[in-house]
Amino acid sequence: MTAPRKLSLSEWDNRYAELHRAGLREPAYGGPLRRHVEREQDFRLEQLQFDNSPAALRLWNFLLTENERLHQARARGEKIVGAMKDLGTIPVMAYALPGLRAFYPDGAWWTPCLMEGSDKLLQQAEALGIDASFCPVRAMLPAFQNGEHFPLPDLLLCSTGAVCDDFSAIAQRLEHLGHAIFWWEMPRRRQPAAGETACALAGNLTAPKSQVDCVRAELQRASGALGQLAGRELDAALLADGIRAANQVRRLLAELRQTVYAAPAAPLPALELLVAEMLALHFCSDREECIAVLEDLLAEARARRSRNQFVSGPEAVRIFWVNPVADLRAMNLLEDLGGRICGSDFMFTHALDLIPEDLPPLEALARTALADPMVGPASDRAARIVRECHANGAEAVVVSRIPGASHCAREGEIIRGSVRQTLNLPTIELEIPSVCDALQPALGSRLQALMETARARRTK
Amino acid sequence: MICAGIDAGSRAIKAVLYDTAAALVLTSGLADQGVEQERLATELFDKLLREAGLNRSQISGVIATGYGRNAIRFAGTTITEITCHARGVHHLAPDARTIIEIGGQDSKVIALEDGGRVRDFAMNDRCAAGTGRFLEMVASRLEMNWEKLSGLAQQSRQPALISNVCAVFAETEIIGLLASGKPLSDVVAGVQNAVATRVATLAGRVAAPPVYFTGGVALQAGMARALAEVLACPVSVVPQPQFTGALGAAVLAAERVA
Amino acid sequence: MRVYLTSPWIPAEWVRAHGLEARGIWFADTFRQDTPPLAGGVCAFAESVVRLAEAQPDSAVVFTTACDQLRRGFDAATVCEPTRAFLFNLPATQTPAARQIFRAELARLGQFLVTLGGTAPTPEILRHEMAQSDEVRRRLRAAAPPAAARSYAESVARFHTDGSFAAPTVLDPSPAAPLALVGGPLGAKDWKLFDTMEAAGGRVVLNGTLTGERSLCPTFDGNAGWPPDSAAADHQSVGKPKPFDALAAGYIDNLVDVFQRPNTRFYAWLKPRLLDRHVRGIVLWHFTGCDLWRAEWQTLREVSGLPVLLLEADEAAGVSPRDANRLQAFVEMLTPA
Repeated sequence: MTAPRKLSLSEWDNRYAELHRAGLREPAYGGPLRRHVEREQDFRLEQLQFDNSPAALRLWNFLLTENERLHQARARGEKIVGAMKDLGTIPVMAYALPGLRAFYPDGAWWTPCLMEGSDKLLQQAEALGIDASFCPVRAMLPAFQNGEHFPLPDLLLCSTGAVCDDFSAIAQRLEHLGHAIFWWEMPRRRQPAAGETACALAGNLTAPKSQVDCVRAELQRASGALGQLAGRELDAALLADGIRAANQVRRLLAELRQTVYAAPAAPLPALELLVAEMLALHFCSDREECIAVLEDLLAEARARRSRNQFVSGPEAVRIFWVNPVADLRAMNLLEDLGGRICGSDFMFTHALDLIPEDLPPLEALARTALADPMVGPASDRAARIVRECHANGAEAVVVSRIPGASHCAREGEIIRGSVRQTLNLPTIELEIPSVCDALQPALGSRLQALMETARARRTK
Repeated sequence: MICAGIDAGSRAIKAVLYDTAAALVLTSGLADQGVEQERLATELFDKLLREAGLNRSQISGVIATGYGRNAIRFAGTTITEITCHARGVHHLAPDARTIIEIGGQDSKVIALEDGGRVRDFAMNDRCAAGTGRFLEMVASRLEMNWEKLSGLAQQSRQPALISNVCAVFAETEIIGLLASGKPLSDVVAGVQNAVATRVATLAGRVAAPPVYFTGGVALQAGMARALAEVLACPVSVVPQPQFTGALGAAVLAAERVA
Repeated sequence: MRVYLTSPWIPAEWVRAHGLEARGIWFADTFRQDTPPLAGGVCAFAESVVRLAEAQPDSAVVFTTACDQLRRGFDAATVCEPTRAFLFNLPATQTPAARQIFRAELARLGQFLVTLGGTAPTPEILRHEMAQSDEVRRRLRAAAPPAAARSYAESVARFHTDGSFAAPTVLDPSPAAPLALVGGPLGAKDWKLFDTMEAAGGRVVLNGTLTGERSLCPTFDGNAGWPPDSAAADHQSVGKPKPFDALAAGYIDNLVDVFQRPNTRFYAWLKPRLLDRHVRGIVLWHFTGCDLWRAEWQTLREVSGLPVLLLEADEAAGVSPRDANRLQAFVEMLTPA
C-alpha cells in the first residue's frame, strides 16, 4: 500500500504511470491529470498539490471533465438545466426526471482560478458591466456569452429573495443579456412567532409553517417548469425516488466527512474534501458516477485510518473552515503551514443534511431548502458552526471572505463573535481572490500566526 | 487671435499659447505641480508670454482645465479635462474615435462622435492601478527613473503576468517575481501590460477605433504597444501627448471667443 | 413612538393607522450625521441604519430584505440584544407566493406595531390613512415634471416624514441639460448633488432615486372598487376589497425597484419618463458596496440608449471633489456646443 502523500502535477505524471503498470482501471473520463493543463489550459493544476490515491485521481478527473460531460449529454439529446443560487435543491428535482441533467453555472467561478486568469473571464465580465467589486461568480456571465465552457442550459432556474446581492445582480444582468430565467422566491427564514405553527428543519432550525408552505409552492412551480422540459410530470413518486438518490450521496458525504474530520490526523487532504463536498450540490452532473467517486474516496479514507496512515500528523492544528475559497491553492497552503481541516461550512450545509423521507417529498424538499444557512440570520449559521467546532474539537476558525461578496461584509464578524464568546477559540478572517499568489506571503503569515496561537493554547 | 490653455494636472502644470489664425501652437511649457498652484501657473503663463514676445492684453481667452483648474483664477473659465483632451486630440487627429488618457492619478477613456464631441467616457479615478502613479511606484521600488523603466520594458522577451488589480498587492507580487528570478525587463513589461489591461476594461465600455493615446504616460515607450495588444487594435500616440489637455483648452477658448 | 422606515415600500399608512409616527429614516436629523468607519464591503447607508437603531432605543426601525446589506445589518443590530427592530421580508418576485408573503408580512408588522404600543386599526382608520397618502402621492406625481429638483426632493421628503403635501417650486424653462438621477436612497445630506449638477449646467428633471419620484409609485387607484372617499362606511364597501387587501395590493403591485426579479418593471417605469422629459443623460448614484444598483449600469445604458454616469456615494454625505469633476465632465458632454 502506497503511503499517503501529496503530489505535485509532475509527480502525478510518474504516479499515473506507476498506477497504470499496476493495472489501474478508470472510468471513461479517466486519464492523466496533466491532460487538463494541455487540453483545457487549467494551468493552476501545476501549482496545486493533490492526494496520491487513485480515488483522488478519479475525483479530479470527474470534476475537470464536467463541461465535457454536459456537452456529451446535450449531444445525446438530454436537456440541460442550469440551477442558480439555491445550492442543492433544484438538482434533486431535475435528476428525478429522466432525460434531464442539472448543473450550477455559478461553479464557473473556479474557472479563473483553474485557468490562472488566462480565460480572461473576469475581464470579460467587466466589459459586460460587472466589475471587480462583485464576487468571482461574475465569471459565469461571459461563460454564458462566449459558450466556451458549459453548454447553454435549456432552462435556467434561479432562487431570489433572501439570497446574496451580487449573485442576484449578476443573474439579473444575465437575463438582460437575453438568457431567460425562471425566478423563484426564497423568503428570509425567521423564527416562528407566537401563535404560528412551527416546522422543524435540518440543522436544529425551525421556521413558520407559512414559510415552508411558500417555498413548497415555489418548488411546485419549479417542478412544473422542469416537468414541461422533461415532457413528463414530476410526480410525488418520482420525486421521492430522486430524494432517496440524493440522500445516498448525502449519506456518503456525511460518512466521508465524519471519517476524515473526526480522525486523529487527516487521512485525506483538505483540497480533496472541499471538492468532494461540492459534489453534494449537483453531483457534478452525473449522479451515479458521483456516488461511485464518493465510495472510492470513503474507502480510501477508511483504509488509511485503519492503517494509521495520514497526510498530516496528529500535531496539525485542527481548523474549522468557513466559506469556500476562490483559489484552491489556499487549501494546500493551510496544510503546508501545519493545519488540517476538522470541519467546514462552505455555505451549503443544507445540501449535506438528509432530506426527510418520511414527509411528502415536496414538503421535505421545501424544509431542506429553507434550512439554507444563507437564508436565515447569520446567528443561526454561527450557532451551527459553534456546535460543529465543539463536536469536532476545532482549535481555531478561519472565515474566508469571498472578494466582492456583499454578505461577507458582516457575516464574518457575527460568526467570529459567536465562536469567541461561546468557545473562546482564536479566529481570523482572510480574503482569498481567484489567484492568490501575490497574497501568499501575507495569507501565510496570518495562517501561521493563527496556528501558533492555537498551539500555544494546547500547552496551557 | 491668441488663446491660452492651462492644464493644472496632479503632477505638472502644462500651458499652451495657440494662434487661432495660423491654427498652430505658438509655444508650450510645463512646470512641476506644487501647493501654490495659481502662482506656479501664473509664472508658467508669463514665461510663455515672454517667449512668444506677447503680453496678457494680447491673449483673447484663457481656459483652465485639470485637477487644479479652479485654483487658476486668471482663467476666464474652467472646463474639465475630459472635454479638453477630446478637443485637443481631435485638433491633432480628426479621425480619432477613442482617446485613452493615462495621467498621474487617473486614467480615462473618451469616446468621440464625428466632429470631436465627447459621446461617452469612463474614468478610473479611485484606484492607482491603471494610472501613472502605479508606474511611478514601480520605478521607485526598482530604484530607477521613468526613462529607464521604458527602456527596460522594450527588452522583455516574455512579460510577467501581474494578476492583481490592486496596485498595493501588485507591488507585493512584483517583489515576489523579482525574488523568484524573473528578469527585470519581463517584470517591467508585465507592469505595463497590467496598466494596459486595467485601462482596457474601461475602454471595453466605450471604445471604437481609431484609438489615440495621450497624457504623460503615453511618453513611456512600450505603453502604446501594450495597449494595442490588449485592445487588439492599433493605438497611436498623439504628438506631445502631455500637452493635449492644455491644447484642447486653448482651442476651446478660441472657439468661445469666436 | 417613532417608527423609522428604511424603504418606501413599507406602507407608512399602516404604521400611522396604528397610531404611531412613521418616518422615512433617510430624513431623520441624526441619520448619516457622522462618517462611520466602515469595514470592507459594508455600505454606508446600511451601517448608518444600524447605528441609528442602536442609538435610539426608544424608536423602532423597520429593515427590509431588499438587499443583503440591510438583511445582515438587521442581524448585526439584533445580535447582542434585541433592539426595537423589525425585518420586513420584501419579496423580490411578483408571484402569487410573493404576494402572499407581502400580505403576511404586513400582518406581522401590525403585530409588531401593537407591541410598540400601537392599536390595530379599524377599516375606517386605515382607509382614511390610505386615502390621505394616496392623494398626496397623486399630487406629488403630478407635480414632478415641472418641479425644481431640490424643491421636489424636499417635498417628497416632507411626505416621507409626516405624510403631508408641500408644493414644490416650479422650474423656469432653462437651456440646462436635462438629466435623470436614479439609484438608491438620496437623503437630505446628499441634496448637494442637485446644486453641483446645476452649477455644472445640468438639471435633474427625473429623480428616480429610492427617495424621489419613484417612491411615489404605490397607489390604490387601480384597485377595482377602492373607495376614494375615506369616509365611506363599511356597508358601502360590501363587495369591494377591504382596505388591508387594497393596501397590500397597492404596494406589491406597484413598487418599482431594481431588486425585483425580474426588474423589468423598473425599466418600464423609467423609459417613458426619459422620453417625455427629453432626458439627455442618466446619473446612476449608489452607495459603495451596493451591488444591486452597480450591476444595472450597463443595462441602463443599453435600455435607455443614453450615456450613464456612475457616481458612488462614499462614507461621508455630500459630493466629493472627484464626483463633482465627473458631473461637470458629464454635463459638458451633454451640452450642445
